Amino acid sequence: MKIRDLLLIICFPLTAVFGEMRTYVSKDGKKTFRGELIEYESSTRKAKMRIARGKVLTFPIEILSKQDQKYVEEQGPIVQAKKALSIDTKHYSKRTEKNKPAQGQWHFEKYDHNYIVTVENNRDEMLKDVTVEYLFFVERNRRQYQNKIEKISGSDTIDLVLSNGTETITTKSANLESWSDNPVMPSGGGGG
Amino acid sequence: MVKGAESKYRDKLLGLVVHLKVNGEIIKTGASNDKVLALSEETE
Repeated sequence: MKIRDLLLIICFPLTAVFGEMRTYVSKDGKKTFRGELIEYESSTRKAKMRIARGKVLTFPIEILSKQDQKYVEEQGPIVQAKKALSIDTKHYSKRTEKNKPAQGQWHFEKYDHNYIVTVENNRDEMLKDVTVEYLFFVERNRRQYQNKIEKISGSDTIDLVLSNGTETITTKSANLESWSDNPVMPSGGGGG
Repeated sequence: MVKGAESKYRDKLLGLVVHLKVNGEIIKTGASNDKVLALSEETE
């Protein structure tokens, strides 16, 4: 019997991630302002922030307190990643086993299921150390499992996602089963 | 008479949740459906 591969493609709806509005302090500690970091360029040490009434300013982070400079340097790559990354997934299913039951015996098929997760970097700068954490769930429906829900989880780190590039990881596999009676057909028949 | 024709069991794949992390912080979450996202929050 030939083993068939099935391929399904799922596009994820992504939950929105918003930037954080916080209070920043000037280098001399005399002035404060509320702002949302929207971009940070580490090579020039310049930050772009949205401040009151939606106004956007770009400035060198040296004008901020040491603590705020550290915050911007830490949050810069995260803000960049929030804007840059998108996720796509493909679901794979492959039959691994099938029996040939006699009448009255159980018929079963077993399938391995897994996903390939693609991370896309839409910016002109590369991103380092992107961790992909995944989990998926299987409902076990054979009588002895009583609809038990099984969780399969794992993680993988992508060292580098090049600018305007993609990287993929493959999840662990889960084996799903399908069982059905192979009914005993009526014997004898009508006759006459 | 057909014996046992109603008996059928099929495992069900409920869906996938993916978190992307940079510097230990979740920056993006994707889920194949709302039900599986809720399930992942219950089990974490």
